[in-house]
Amino acid sequence: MLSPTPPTPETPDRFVRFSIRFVGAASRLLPSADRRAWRAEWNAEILAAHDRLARGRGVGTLDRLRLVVHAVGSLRDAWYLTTHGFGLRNLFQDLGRAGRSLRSRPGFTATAVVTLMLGIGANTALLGIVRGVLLRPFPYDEPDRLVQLIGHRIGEPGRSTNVSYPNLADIESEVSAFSGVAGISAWQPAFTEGAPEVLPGATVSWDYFDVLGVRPAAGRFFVPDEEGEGRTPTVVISHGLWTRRFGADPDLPGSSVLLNNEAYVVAGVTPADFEGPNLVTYNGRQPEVWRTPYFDAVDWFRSGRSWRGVARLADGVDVDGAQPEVRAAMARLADAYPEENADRTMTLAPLRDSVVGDTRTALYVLMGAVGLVLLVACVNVANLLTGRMLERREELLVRSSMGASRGRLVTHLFAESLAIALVGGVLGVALAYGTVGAIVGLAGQWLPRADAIEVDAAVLAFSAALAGGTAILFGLLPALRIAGSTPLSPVGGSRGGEIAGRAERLRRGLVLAQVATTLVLVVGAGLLLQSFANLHGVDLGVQRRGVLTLEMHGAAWWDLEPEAAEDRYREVLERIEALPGVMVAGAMDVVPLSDNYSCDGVTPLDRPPPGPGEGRCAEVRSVTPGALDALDARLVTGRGIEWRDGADAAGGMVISAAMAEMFWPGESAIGKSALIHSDTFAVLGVVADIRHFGPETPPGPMAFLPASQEPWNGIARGLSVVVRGDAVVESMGDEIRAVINSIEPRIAISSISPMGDLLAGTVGGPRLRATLLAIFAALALVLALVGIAGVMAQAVSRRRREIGVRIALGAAPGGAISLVLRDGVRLTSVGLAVGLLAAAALTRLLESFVFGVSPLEPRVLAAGCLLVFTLGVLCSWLPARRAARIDPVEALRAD
Amino acid sequence: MAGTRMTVATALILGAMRDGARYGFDIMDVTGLPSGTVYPALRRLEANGCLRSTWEPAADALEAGRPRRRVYEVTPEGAALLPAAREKLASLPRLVGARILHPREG
Repeated sequence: MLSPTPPTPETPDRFVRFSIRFVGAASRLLPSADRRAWRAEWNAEILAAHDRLARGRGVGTLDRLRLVVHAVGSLRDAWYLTTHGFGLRNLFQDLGRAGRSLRSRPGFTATAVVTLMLGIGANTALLGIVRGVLLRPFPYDEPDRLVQLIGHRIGEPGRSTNVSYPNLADIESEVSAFSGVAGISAWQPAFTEGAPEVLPGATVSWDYFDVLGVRPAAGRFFVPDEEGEGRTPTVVISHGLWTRRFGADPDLPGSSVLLNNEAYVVAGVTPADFEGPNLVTYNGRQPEVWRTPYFDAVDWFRSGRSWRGVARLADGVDVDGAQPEVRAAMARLADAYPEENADRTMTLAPLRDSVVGDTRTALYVLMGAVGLVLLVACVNVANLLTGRMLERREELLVRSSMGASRGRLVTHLFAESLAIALVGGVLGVALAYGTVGAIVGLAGQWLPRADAIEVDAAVLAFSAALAGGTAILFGLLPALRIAGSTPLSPVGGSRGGEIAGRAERLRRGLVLAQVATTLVLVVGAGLLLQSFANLHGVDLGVQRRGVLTLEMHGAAWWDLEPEAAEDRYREVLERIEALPGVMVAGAMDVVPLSDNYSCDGVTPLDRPPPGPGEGRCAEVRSVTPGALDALDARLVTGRGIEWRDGADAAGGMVISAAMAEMFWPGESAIGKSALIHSDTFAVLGVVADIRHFGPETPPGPMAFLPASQEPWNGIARGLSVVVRGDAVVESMGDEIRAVINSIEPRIAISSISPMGDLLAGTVGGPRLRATLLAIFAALALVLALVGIAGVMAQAVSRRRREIGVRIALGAAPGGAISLVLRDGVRLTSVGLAVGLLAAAALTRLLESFVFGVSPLEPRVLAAGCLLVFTLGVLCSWLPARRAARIDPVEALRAD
Repeated sequence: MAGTRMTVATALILGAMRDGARYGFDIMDVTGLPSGTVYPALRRLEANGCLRSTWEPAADALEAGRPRRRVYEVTPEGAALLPAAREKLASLPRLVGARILHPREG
């Protein structure tokens, strides 16, 4: 702006001098570039006003004061100009302009928008999951006052097991810190009228729903009389079942339904949004029907630990306050019932914590990883924008000399970032909507409360904040830098070069951080992928391919005599084995890799009897002949179970290698006998260990009893069928079901699933963690490579002249290539060094998620470095080739 | 011009400028509005394209023996607002001036 001729006041009046000083002070509000012109305008007016007054009738004090008042008004003018630069209306104008300018550069815009879309989308999807699983409270009254009672041996809190119903009842009556205690245990009934359907269900204390703090959607919940010996069989059903099977019939409460051939009165229906506390689930499925115990708590086995306990803390009591009282009560119960309770206690955990378990840590680690991806994405967009702002320096210069304030320029530049963030954010949320379902699918049964996962308003608000935050992160800083250094610097002059150099140093620093961050993610992903591969390599002791399992419900079996049941099993299995493609079929109560759990006391007869609390237990399974063969369990020694091991034959069993080692270490177990509950079984054979709970859990001792000899339930009950054969067996579920129902149409069949799927279910957590981290690492890697290539390309174009001179002076083009490549290698190497340090510090977070590999595994670290380094150098090689092709004449002429 | 809110101050300023006021302080004198109102209004009108401002020619300033002043002119867009400004001012008596301009007898 041309400066006006300086004022030359002839009569330096005190009031004029004050006014001019005031204007000078007020001008401080303005950006330095605009101050002079602004002061000149105000000073000229003040002097002109003073002159006019002086020429007329002389200046009175009142006129002088009025002049001062006018001058003071300049403060409002300055304030208006300063604030107006950041005004919202300007921002909207700028957004429109930014939109137009972004449309005119589709390549730049698409890169930036897609980068942010990926970053924000991944974060939104993961936050949806974190919120659904960890942050969303259970839909109960004051859910924070609910605790789980975890039973375990003293000193082994990690190996938690269930609790027994009598102990729970005693805790309820003895502990005053609770306002209510309830138990829940698995129960899977089937409808025995109408279409056969197996239901996930539970047996619960009568006050279960009251302890949780839920009110029925229809009818009522249980009353005290409905629990115990002689109670009227009563059930509560879920809203889903009520709608699905009974058409939401409002008259259903009060009428009866036939479950397991027994009439149950339907008391009421849970609310539509009711969600079980995940204490009992069936491969992730929540109970849909609840009944009360048909026995009195005092009469029930105190050693039968098939219950889970939940309690509501009394007013004014917290977990730490209630814990000592529970410990004391358990100590009294151990004294009173040493055989069942010696060495046992209960630990309280907030219901929410006990439900999510290790999922919490894993989700937070993933959240951190995805946050790093967003950071890398922001760095890239910031780099893109810095480059773009450098290109636009001339335009900004013109704008500034046209009188645009610094604030105005920053707003203008920032508007573009905001526009990119807005579009990227909207697309990212759409991406999250589309992928969150797939991510939850990957998790299998590992992710509790998965039904409730969604991208809701709170998550959207977070994404909006994320988009805004990223816009500030990647947009405002470069904008301030560039706008701050631009005004009045001559176009294309040395100062411009200096700014470009400063900006490039900034970009190099950012790319270095990208490389480091990427290495951390790549190493993390490598560790988890290696763990996942290790898990897959684990010998489960059973065949995973060509094996199909299906569950038969017991209702159609219970009314059979044991001999008739055994005959029917023979028939069912023989008919299945006759199907083409099937090699062998058997039946057993609980198939491996499903989520049931029991541990029954085993006492070897050739050892001294154990003292209280010293008894040991094993997983005891009930099997028909063919079952272990169908699993492809390897017989180590002895023989398997055959039909001749019937109800009348001497008790025999096949045990696992771990069990043989536990009870008869160093000697042959064949022929040795043990007491299981009150019956004696002799070892017929030993099979290799089976990892019942999946590859992560070391195999425990197992005993397989012939179903006909199994003392508690016998063979007249529904077992799971295991079928092994060609690969086609995995898809023969309907055929096998038809064969079974042709023998007995009332048999309800559920959970048809290949062994491979059961395995996939147990490794859902590792698979989800490895897949997500691998995706995040790949994203970060791609973004970092784009970053490296960008910075190298820019360095090449900035050093065009230098390279041109070198080539003109006779340097070989190969020299130019190595010049740029060296630069790329240096940048990548320093990034990798920083990344290695960060990785060493951060992979410790993965400690509980790695399997068969150390968090500092050198091979993984080396492979990660090699990958990032190779790709990084490759990405600087492309701009380097361009450097070699620089025509020295062109390069020198250009400047 | 879209986005220009027609306030009484804006109407007065545009009216004063139509009647020949060219400098900020002159506009203040004619309208009786304080500088803290006039200047921000000028900035806004200029940003909206209703006004244009330049430094007066150096010769004029030299002749008058003072620094150059900033001259404001109404652009065609600004001129298009004049009817709205006139209407705004014409509504004043009805709104606030009725009692002052036409006091009731007694």
